[in-house]
Amino acid sequence: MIEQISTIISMDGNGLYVWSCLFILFFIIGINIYLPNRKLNRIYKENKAKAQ
Amino acid sequence: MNKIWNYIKDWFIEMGSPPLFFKWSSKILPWLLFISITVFIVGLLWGLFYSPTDYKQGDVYRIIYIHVPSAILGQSIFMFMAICGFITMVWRVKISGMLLKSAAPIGASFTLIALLTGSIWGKPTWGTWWVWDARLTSTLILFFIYAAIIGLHSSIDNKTKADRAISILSLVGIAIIPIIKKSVDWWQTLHQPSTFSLTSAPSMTPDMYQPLLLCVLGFYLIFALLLTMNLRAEVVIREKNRSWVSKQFLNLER
Amino acid sequence: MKSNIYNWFFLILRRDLLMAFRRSSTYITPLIFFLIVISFFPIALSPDQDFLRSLAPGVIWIAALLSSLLAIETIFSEDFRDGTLDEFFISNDPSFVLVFAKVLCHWLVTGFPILLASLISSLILYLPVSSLLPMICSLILGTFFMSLLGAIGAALSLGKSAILSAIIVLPFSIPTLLMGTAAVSSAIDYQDYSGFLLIMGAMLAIGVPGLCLLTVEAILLNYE
Repeated sequence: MIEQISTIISMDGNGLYVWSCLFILFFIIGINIYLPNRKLNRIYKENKAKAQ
Repeated sequence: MNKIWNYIKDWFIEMGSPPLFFKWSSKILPWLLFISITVFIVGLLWGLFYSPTDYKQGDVYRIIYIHVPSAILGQSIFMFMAICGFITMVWRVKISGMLLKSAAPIGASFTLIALLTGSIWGKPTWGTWWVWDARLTSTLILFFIYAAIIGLHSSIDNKTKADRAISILSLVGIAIIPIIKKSVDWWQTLHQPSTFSLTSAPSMTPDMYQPLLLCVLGFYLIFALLLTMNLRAEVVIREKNRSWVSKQFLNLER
Repeated sequence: MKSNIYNWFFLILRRDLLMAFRRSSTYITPLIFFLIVISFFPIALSPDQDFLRSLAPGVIWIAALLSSLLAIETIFSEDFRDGTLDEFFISNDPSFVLVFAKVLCHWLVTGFPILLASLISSLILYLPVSSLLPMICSLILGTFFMSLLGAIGAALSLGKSAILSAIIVLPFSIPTLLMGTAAVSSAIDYQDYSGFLLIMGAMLAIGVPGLCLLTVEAILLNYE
């Protein structure tokens, strides 16, 4: 089981390339999800504070 | 016929009005989130783990499941932006300007992903991180054009004016991108010919082709998700002093 | 009606040319800038003849692009600041013609001196005589297209920093750069270069109406 996982992760020694691509993908998409939500949250907090 | 057309047009304009958009997008957002992330993850898992290994490139070819969809997205988002730009310029529909503005950073991100993963893929297969090959160059230029659009928008304070400014720029871009691609194609090209074509049969085996198709679908859905989120933020920021924002978004009754 | 448009066109052209020639810096500065950039390449890289000859098309074209963008933000900004542009737009004469006249004037003031300077720089960079004709032809077509593109960049960044208009315009200038260098370097290798010139001409033919109309739209943005 552990050997299978390690072969999948290493991918004939090319694992670093594939996994770094995957990391870049999730990182950039994560930023894109985070930024608009942060903007919305900021406005939400500002206006809540104003209302109270 | 004219009546139906007017009806459709009115429906679109009504759906695009900021309060109504905010209302219906709040309803579909959880569904969109669920579906897009499921398809995205399933496509990636299928591609990265279950599809067969390529006999020439080994396992490194699996980067294709990230690289190709994001390159496709980078180009089709520009097409989408040009359509929005045309609508903004001709009919002055407010929401299409906001769509244009919120699609630009997403398109730039996908183009950046395509560039970075392409360069990582190039290292084991070609031996270098970067080659001045036709497709790489035109993708890089596409990225610069995205950057120019984002920069122009952020430099103009009046946001509706900025929307119209970038709509002009996106129209210039859509006219000139095919010329850039053709002119850059005359260089000696190292890149493999494109995997996808609408008119001819795929050159890959179905085992590799099907997960790629699913990945492309997943990326499109992720784009729809990101666009909805960005547009919601944009709409609320632009109209934060209007009464519907405090009613719907903040749940305050005044 | 027809003569009216021509009168309007020549009126603008004459006015702008007069204003440009009263102030010699408008046509001297791009010229000097072009020559300085050209002469930096042999100093920085290597004075070797064969090396410079292979480099020359690219060097001349990059210098031409940069120096035609150098003065581009003045194309509308001065008239915009003192209100002349408002008067032009209020008058019933077609604004499309106004933009075209301004672009043509800008080309005559910056592009044309660059053409002459490129002859000198072809001597400095050891370009063979056979490649002079394609170089001149491609520069005529290319710098005019650059003036058109620069006009739209200047109109979009009216009242903003000059570097913004350069950032807007430079990515769109890649086809011109590629085609121009390809024409000159294929002439050096004694190959047929007419195809590149034809495509540049086609781009110019589409660009004159299309880009001028979009420029009008971009200028109108500032009057809201």
